[in-house]
Formats: sequence, structure tokens, C-alpha cells
Amino acid sequence: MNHPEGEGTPRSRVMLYAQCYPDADAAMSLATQLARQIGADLHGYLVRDRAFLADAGGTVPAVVSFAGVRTTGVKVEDMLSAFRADARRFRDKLQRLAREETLPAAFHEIEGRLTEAMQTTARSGDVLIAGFKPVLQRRADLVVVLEQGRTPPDYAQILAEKLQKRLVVLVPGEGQDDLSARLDRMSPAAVILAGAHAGFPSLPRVFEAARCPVIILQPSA
Amino acid sequence: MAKRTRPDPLPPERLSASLSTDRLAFETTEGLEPPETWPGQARAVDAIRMAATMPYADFHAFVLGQPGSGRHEIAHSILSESARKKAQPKDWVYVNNFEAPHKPIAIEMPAGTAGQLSRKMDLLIDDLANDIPALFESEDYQTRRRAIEERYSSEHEAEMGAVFERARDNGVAILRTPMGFTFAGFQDGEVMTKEQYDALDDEERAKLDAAMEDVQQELSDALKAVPRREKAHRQEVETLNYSMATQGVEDAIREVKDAFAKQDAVQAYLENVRKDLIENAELFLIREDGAGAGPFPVATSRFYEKPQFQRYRVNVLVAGAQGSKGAPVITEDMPTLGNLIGRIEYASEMGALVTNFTMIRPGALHRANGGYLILDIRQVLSEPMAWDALKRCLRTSEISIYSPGERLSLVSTVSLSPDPVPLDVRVVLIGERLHYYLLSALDPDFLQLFKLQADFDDHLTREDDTIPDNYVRLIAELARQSGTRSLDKQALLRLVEESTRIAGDAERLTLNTGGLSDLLREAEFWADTSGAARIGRAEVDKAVSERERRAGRLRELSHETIQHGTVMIDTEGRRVGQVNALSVIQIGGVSFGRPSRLTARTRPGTGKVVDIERETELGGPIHSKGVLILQGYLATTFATALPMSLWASLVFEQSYGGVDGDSASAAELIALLSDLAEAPIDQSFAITGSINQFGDVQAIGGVNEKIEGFFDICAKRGLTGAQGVLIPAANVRNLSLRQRVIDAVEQGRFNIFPMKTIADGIELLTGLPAGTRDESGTYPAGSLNRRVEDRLTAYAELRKSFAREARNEPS
Repeated sequence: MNHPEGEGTPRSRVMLYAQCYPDADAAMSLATQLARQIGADLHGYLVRDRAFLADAGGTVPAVVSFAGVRTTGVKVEDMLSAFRADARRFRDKLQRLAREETLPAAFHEIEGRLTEAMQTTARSGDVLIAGFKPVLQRRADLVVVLEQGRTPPDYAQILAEKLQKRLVVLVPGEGQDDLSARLDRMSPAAVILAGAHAGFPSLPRVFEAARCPVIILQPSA
Repeated sequence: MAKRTRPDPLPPERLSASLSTDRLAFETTEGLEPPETWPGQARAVDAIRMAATMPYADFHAFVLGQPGSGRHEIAHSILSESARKKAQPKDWVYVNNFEAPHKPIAIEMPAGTAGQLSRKMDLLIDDLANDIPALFESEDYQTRRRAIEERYSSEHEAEMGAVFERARDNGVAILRTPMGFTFAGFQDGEVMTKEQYDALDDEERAKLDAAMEDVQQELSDALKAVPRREKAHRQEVETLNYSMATQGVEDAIREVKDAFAKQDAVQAYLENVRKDLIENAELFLIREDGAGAGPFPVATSRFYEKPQFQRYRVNVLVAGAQGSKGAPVITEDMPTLGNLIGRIEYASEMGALVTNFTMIRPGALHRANGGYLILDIRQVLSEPMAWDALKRCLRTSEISIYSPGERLSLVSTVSLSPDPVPLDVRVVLIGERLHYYLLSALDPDFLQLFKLQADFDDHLTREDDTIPDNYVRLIAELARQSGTRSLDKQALLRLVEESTRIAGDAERLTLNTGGLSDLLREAEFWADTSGAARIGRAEVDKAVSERERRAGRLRELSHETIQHGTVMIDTEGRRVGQVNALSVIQIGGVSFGRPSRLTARTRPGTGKVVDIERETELGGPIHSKGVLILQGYLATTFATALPMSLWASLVFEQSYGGVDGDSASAAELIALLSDLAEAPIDQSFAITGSINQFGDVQAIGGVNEKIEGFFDICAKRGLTGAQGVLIPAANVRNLSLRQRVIDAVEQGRFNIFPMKTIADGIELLTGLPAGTRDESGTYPAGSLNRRVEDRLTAYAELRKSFAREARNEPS
């Protein structure tokens, strides 16, 4: 892996955050494309959110798998092992893609909430991607959320072409529904939050409504 | 006094064929018409004609005769003539069996239409390769497909959205982990910590637990609904695709169907194609090489050659040209199993051997179907499994294609079982007589299938001293076919003389056209060398003598050993018990005669004649038979009232190889009689002929070579006029001697005597009359037979006296 640390002006970075490997995998190609497109370093973060409830015996009362199967009595130790395994897979794939694209890349593991991790690690000018594996693979559109009067960034257009998706622009406050409700009904391939976030819903709410990778452009200082 | 029976020598005109040129009304062969039919082959020609027109399936023909007799040419000519009158056979194609691809379907089509079907199918695939992608890329299709997708996506998203919304409303946080979704409480926009959860009172905790339970169930239900919804979605898209493909395929295939409207089998096939095209329309959406690849626009690309479209191709197995007439006459010179019944080819793909119906190749039986197939039996028999396959096809009246590897279970790769093709063919096998008789004896199927034998004659018998007109025209035609210059009358006469020599009979002409053609071309060579305008007698003579010269090394070596005295042969003087016998040596297609010294010694004994050749295992069975016959002659001709009291030995002196045949039995008998009678034999003569138990001299083979062999030895030493050869009278008709012998006879320097009985030979060789018994049963005094009988009687008396002495009785 080419470590992105260096002297002088900091290089721009594409930061891929995920809570599990499937989420990371779903956005890995997107992150690589973006990093290559804007000439940025690629950083991967596996965020271990340990907010799940565990009883006194050290077991998680209920887990619903991505296929919908309910499991009870999952041991916390097993859950942590799964985190380690996902971290390994995330790192390996990131390294491989970075090597193929000759991108400087780094992998990190971090504990805590996803949004907190993003806030603590990001700096101005970074492109943040929250990985999310959609349940349905068949997703047509790349959605750009813009403030009124702004135009979609160039990279959004290029990305849409590369991914062979339609580019759909959403402006908060348009129409009767708020943004999260509109995203809730759509099946976007990815969502780009461009510009300032003042009128936007909270990030956890956007993630929950989009249910797909979300790209956030961190404003420059 | 015994009556003399010395035969007269043969006049020169009886030493070769007597041929008259009086009725040859031409100067050269140039303007002569070809023969109306093949001279001397009426029997064989009729048999082949019968085979050509016989309607029954199992009346195939076997043409038997010697190589060079024109079997192939005549058979091909007759069959071609018959084929022109027959209907043009149907075309055959192999097409894919969409239900069982390993069993390709054979379809019979009217002559000349198979190619059309193949071209139209290729065109259909090309059209669809352009039309179907266009249909699926159309706005209409895209809109309808997007509508379906959006409907199913919306349903799912709405369901998932509802789950998340209810979770939020009930204070439940849904967390993503590597093992799936876990759940926690949600308070003031933040996920509860464990401590916050534990700090809840029982009621609040119970309420939160119940809410989490509900969310888990709803999320589980929403996720489990995904596969079912996806399946329904796929089915709806497939239905849409099917309807789009149906629209495209129906339009395109209609033209092909209309073109073959009256052909039920083709219609059934096209219906299967239609269904398969609709079900597999996605094959046309594969664009692995890019739409604009290659130097030509996409519209002209040969899509039908792409691997995914092979299934729709038409493999034209046999196709006649449209509008042409007649049935095929096929000659297969290399009748391997594959070349006869067809074969299935394989291609190597990723290290495995693969095949399909387009790799089925026709065999000679397919190509000859509806017509005639000519095969050389020796080639068929020498190809593994070919004979068996041919018989099977003829017996079942169908052509089933299989590979030798499959038959012997040597190959385990996936193969095909193509539909057998019905067979209606007349097979004409060409071989030698030996092949016919061996197959008749050893193969029970043979005569069941090959019921007609076309037996080619080796020679043509002349009625008188004229040359049959058809034969003259045959030679003229051979000259034309060989591209030689024309022959004048004398050349033709000389060629016919040589023809009688090849036939081995002065009254017969050879029908070995191959041999005659060879001689003609050799004469042409000499005519060309000498710059002659046409072939004359001299050129034919030159061709014959040069041919003999080329093959003459062994003969000259053999004669040289005699000239040098290494092999002892007397050609003058007289000697008791010694005679010149004649033999023919055949090696590598060359035969020549040479004399051999044959001697006999006798003494009293118990009636045994020792054949030294047999005792030393150098004599063959026929030679032994001849010796036993002469033993029978001796025993029943002389001293019949007394026990046979002779011991005799017979041997070919200086013979170190095998001896067979009975043509020396007359010489052996005379040598034996000479020794018994102590009558010396004139060594100026050589003798050939076999005898029977009555002393009659019977015909032998190779008479010309034998005479010439002795003549050449005598000529080298100097002809005295007393020298000659005794031959069986029955062989006089076989005489076709070289001119040098005839000239010597004409000049009185050499003689050839015919013998009817052994008595004729005795008189000539010993100078004594043989003698016949008179009324009293005794041979006349002074005759050779009397001397022999007296000697044998004396031997018997001697033997009796020994017997008496042994018993101590007075004499």
C-alpha cells in the first residue's frame, strides 16, 4: 500500500467509512473512481459501533441478518471476531484496488458512531463516502442533493457516466416532502450531498433514508 | 520290327499366331472410330448394366478381373450412362435438435434447395443480430422495463422506509454490524448506551424491548420478502422480453417459412427455430467485440459465424446444383471408415474436444446416395472397419455415422448420434477374382449383398486368322487415349502378335488394355526418339525387345552360368539316363525359360522310385504327383505279371531351389526308360510336357519361354540344325514365339516337335521306336519298350533268385 503521508500541502482525500465489509464493498468502486478522478489519496475506515445491547452473559439478544434471518444469542466475542474478519477483507480489497489504480491508500479501524468517526477524521476538502450495501442491486440513479441555485459538481456528472446512471438533482425544500422522505421512496445507486449542509437533514437520517452509499463533499476551509 | 512313330517338326507358320491384314481397310489407326462396345466383355458389361438398372436394393455388383482389363473405366462408363437417365437425388442437411442437441436431425430436401435454406438461415441470424438489439434498446422497451423495475423497487423501498420510520417513532435504533442488523434504544437523537438502557425503569425497558421486538420482526419480514419480489420482478421482465423477442423473430422468420412452405420437415424445423430464438433472444444481445468492431459496418458482419449462433446454422451434407440432371457416380479412392460413412469432427476448446452438428462431414455413401458408388475392394478391405461399415449400411439401407474411437470404446469425449440418412445406392466393387472367391467363401454377407458378378474376360478368342474389327478399333482408341501417334497397319499387326503372346494362346487376344496401353506408350517413346511420323512395326518391336532387355539381367546371368559350364547342360551328343528338361523362372513380373539337366539311375529293387527333390523337401506336391504318375505308368506298362523289382532315382542336377509342377514328368519318364533300356538320349533336344498313367503327353504352361530358353542356349553355342524342343501337341496353339526362333526354324537350324504320347518323345530322343505289344503281349524286338521290359523282367528274376537263396531253394 502506498501510504499517503507526505510533506507540504496536504493532498485531497477520499475517505470511505463503513460499519461492515458489505457496506464498504458496495462503495469501494465508487471511492476508487472518485479518488482517481480528483487525484486524491484513498482512506478506508471500518467503524466498530459497539452500541448494540449485550446482556449480562455477554450475548447480543437479537440480530437480523441481511437476508432477514433472525438470530438470538449471538456472543459478543463472535461479533467482535466478525468485525476483525470484515476489517481484514476491507483492508485487503482496498489495498488491491489501490495497487491496481496506483493510488496512495491507507486503512484504519476506529470505534464509535459512524457520524462521529467522520467528524473526527475528516478535514476540509475531503470527500467522505458512507458505505451502504443496498438490499436491491438494481438501482438506476445517482442523486445529487444541492442547495437552491447551485449546479451539480463536475465530478458528479463524470461519475454518473462512468457508472452508467442517470444524474438526478434534488434540492431541499422543493415540493411538499422533505428531503429524507423523498430519498426514502427512491432507490438511488448513490447520493451526493454537495455544498453546505445547513438545510439538509442530519446525516444519520440521510443514511437511513438513502439506504445506499452517500458521498459528502467536505467544504474547503 | 517295331513301327516308327517319329513326329514331324512344326512348320514355321505354326509357331506364332497366324494373322492376316487383308481385311484391315486402313493405313493408320488415326481415323478409326472407337469400338461400339467393349470387345470380349459382353458378359461383364451386361452384368454391370443389370446392376445399374436393377430396382432391388441388394443387387450390388462385384466386378472381377485382372488389373489392367479396364474394369474401372468400363464400370464408370456404364454407370455414368445410366446415371444420366436417373432423377437427381434429394439434398440432405443436418440441423440442430433443440431438444436433444446430441441427436442432430437429418432433413431431406428437393435437389438444389439445401443451399438456399442455409443461406436464408444465415441471413435470418444476421437480421436478428441487428433487429433484436435494436428492439431491446428501443425507448418503448426501456420505458416498459423501467416501469416494472420502479414498481418493484418502490414497493421494497416503501416497505423498508416504513420499518425505519416505525423504529424511529418507537425509539429504536437500527445498527449495521458485520453479522447484520442489531438494535438499541434511541434517545434524544442519539443511540442509547448500555448504561442509559440499564437506567430505564422496568416499564420503559419493557416498552423498548417490545418495540425492538416488533422492529426486528418487521425488518426480518421486509428483508425476507426481497427474494420473492425479485423472482416476480424477473418473471415480469422475462415476459416483457419474450413479447419483444416474439415480435422481432416472427417478422424475420416469416420470409424463410414462406420460401419452404411445401416442405413439412423444414417447416417443423423452422418452428423449433422460432421457439428457440424467442427463448434465447439474449444471445443476440451479447456484444463482446463491440458494435463497431472490424473494418466493415455492423450491418454487414457475419453474425451467423459467431459461436452462439452455430445452433441456427444449416449443415449442408449433400446438395446438387439446382437445374442439373442425373444421379451421381462417385469413386472413392480412399475408402476409410470416415470417407465412406462420413465423420464427426472435433475442435479443441480449453483442452477439451467438442463438437456439434455443424461438424458432421459427409462420406462417399452420402455423396453417392441416389446414384452409384464405385469402390476398389482391396482398398476397402485394407481400411479398418470400412468393409463392416459398408455392409451394415447396405444391409440396413441407411447411413449411420460413428467414429472408430467410439466403436472401439477408446474415446470418452461427448459425441453426437446424428439421425441416420436413408440410403439408396448401387455399389459396384472392383477387385480380382481371388477377392471375389475368398469373400464368397469366408463372408456369409457377401453374396447376400453382391448378387451380381461381372466377370471380366482376360482374352478374346479369334474366330479365324483375321483380327476382329472391334479389337482393331480398341487399339486405335487406346492409342488416342494414351496420346500416342497413330499406328500403321504393320504396327497394329505386331501389337496383336504381342497380344497373343500375352494371352498365351495363338488363337486368343489379350484384353489387358492396361498392358497394351503400356506397350503403345513405350512404342510412342521410341517413335519419338527416332522421329517417326507414326508408330510402325519397328517401334513396337523395339518396345518389346527393350522391355525384355530391361528385365533380362537374371535371364542373362542364368544363361551365362550354362555357357560357362558352371551349370552343366549338353546340347549335343548322347547319354544314357540324362535329358534336358525345361523350366520357367518367374520373378518380379518377369518370366524366362531355361534348361535343366534331369538324370535317372536304376537298379534292381523293390519297386521304389526315389524322387530326390521330394526326399530333400525341394519338390512341391505337384512335382511329387507327377513322379507318382510316371511310377504308375511304369508299373502298369512293363512286366505286369511280375513284381515291380526296380529301384530308381530321379533328380534335377544342380538344382538348389524348389521345384514344382509336373511339366517335367515326360522328361523324367524318358530319362528313366533310357537308363532301363540303356538307350542313350540325344542331348540336342530338350523336352517339356506332363504325362498321365497311359503315357499321353499333356499340356503345360510357359511353353514359349521354355522353347526360347533352350533356343537361346543353343544359339549361343551355335545352332546345328539337329537341335530342337519337344512340346506337348496340346500346346501348339499356345505358340507365339519370338521372331528369332521362327527364323531359325525357317532356316532349318532349329526344330520344334509336338508330342501326343510318350512314344513320340522316345523315338525322337533315343532314335529307337517305342514299340507296342503285339497279339502275344510282347513288345517288338529292338523297341525301347522291349528293352525296358526285358530289363525289368531280369530285375524281377534276380529278385526271385535272391528270395529262393534266402529260403535255400534250388534255382
